Amino acid sequence: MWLYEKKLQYPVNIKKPNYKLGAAILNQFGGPDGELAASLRYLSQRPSMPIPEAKAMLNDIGTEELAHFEMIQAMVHQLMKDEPIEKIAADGATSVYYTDHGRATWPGTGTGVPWTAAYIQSKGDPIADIYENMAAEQKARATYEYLIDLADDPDVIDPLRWLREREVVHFQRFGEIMNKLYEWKDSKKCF
Amino acid sequence: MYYSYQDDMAGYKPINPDKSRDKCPPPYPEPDMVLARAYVPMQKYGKIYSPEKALKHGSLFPELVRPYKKRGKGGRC
Amino acid sequence: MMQGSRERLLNQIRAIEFTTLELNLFLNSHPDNQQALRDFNNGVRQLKALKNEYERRFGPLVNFGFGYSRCPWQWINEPWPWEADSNRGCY
Repeated sequence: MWLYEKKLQYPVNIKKPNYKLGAAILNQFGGPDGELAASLRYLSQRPSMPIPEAKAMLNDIGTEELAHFEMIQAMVHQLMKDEPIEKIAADGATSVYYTDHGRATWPGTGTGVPWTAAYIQSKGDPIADIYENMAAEQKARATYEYLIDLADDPDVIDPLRWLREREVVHFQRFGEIMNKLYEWKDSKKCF
Repeated sequence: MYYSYQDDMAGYKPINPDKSRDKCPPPYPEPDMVLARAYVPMQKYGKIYSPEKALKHGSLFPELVRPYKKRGKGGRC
Repeated sequence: MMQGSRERLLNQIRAIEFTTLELNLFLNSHPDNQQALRDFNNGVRQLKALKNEYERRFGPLVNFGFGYSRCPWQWINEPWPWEADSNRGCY
């Protein structure tokens, strides 16, 4: 089971509202390369993994991704909460999100595309799954870089920068697990 | 007979025969590496940050910290 | 005042817990590394002490019975982590 710890993994403290940027960052909440997809991908794949190191890694990184999901939620919430309605109304794209979700955090993209399991794979083949995960970390890293390019508020850039760094670390860990999976595969051939 | 990369190099003459070119192209794949799979080096346990610095950087391990430089106006990189 | 010291303590917990998380992931792929394991266990000890202090002063940090509460029930106390005020004064 899971327990909830009443704190963010890394602080999010945004003072200046920016609804439009919030809608862009929402893609890391419920978009194709977002944190929900990451978490559910790894947690869904857990039972397919043949070696203890791989089971633990998918379990633990899948859990950490939920903490990142929560950080993204905090960012979107704080960016949308106090934006004057005139500013939201002035932007055609964001006023469409406002129509359906107001200032709520909804697990989809800022353009209204709902989260779907089609974003992720759980193939039952450990090598195929681990490559998927390494690619997923790279795609999320690229997304964070695009978001950093879009942002100019240091309160927004700082947590984005931090989350991007986590993708780099996770890629390394999945890479190490990939090596171990190949070792396991090779050892099986000797029987 | 095994395929040897060196056989391919028999007639190879570097256009610019300086020292660094002598080894070009490198003997790849490495002897203990196989084709059609990826490799990521296993990290060695070395230097670690203090807890405060680790949290700030987003990793405990200095060697894994890869800062990103924001793209400026009009730029791609 | 109380808010400031709560945040300070929360930040110490964040830093130590992040360190043990990183070591946990490292150990998942390096289960025989004794130095990493020593650092991990050392972090666990510090984390336990800090969390005990936090819960004694500010109420449960973790739900479902992993921390004591005073009366009235402290778990529902605001702010929640996604609310900006809860993170004031950090970094």
